[in-house]
Amino acid sequence: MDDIKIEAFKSELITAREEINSLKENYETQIGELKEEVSFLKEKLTSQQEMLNMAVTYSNKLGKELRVLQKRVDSGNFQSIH
Amino acid sequence: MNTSDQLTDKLVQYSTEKHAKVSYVEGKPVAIVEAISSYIPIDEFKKIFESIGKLVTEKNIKKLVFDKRQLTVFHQPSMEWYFTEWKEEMFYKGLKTHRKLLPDNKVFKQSVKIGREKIKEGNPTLKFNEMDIQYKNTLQEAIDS
Repeated sequence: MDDIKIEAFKSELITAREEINSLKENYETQIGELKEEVSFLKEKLTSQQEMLNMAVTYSNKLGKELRVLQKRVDSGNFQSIH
Repeated sequence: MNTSDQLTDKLVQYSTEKHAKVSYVEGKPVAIVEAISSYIPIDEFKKIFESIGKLVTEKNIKKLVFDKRQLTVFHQPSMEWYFTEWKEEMFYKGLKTHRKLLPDNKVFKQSVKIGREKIKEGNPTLKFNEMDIQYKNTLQEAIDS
């Protein structure tokens, strides 16, 4: 009787261990995918920020050039190319 | 491929990654790389173009169409590698014609323009200055021109 109980307990233990291992593998896969997604989003956001900075820098440069041109036009020291 | 694209040519799939796929036009020395997400991480970007390098050798590709219409984010370091290393190497393999399809996004378009000018300024002697690079509106137009 005791032997039967021990065998049943062992079998239950094996099943439980297998379940734990399967859950662990599943979580590890999910964590791996999440890490990959976070890394992708981080790189994308950094690039987006750099892209916008580049556009703002360019727009500031154009703004400065326009102000210089405006000053030249206002001072009358401007030769039209036409 | 963009759903609005009606092609008369037949495309053969060559490779597919998470953020881009590569194909070539049957019977023509034309390869197509299509962005299928809003951003391509630099490691994948390099992997894709290295695989296109193999395709260029295998199929004697003379023209590359880069369909960027799905992209929303421009990455300058990727572009620098693409222009100063990859395109140079491909130039000597005979790939000298490039066609590009851009997204309908003003910031993206302007960033591409600024980025390209920066690269040109910093690398005046490189071969990409001698390449035939044009922007097109449709895939068929890019294949045909």
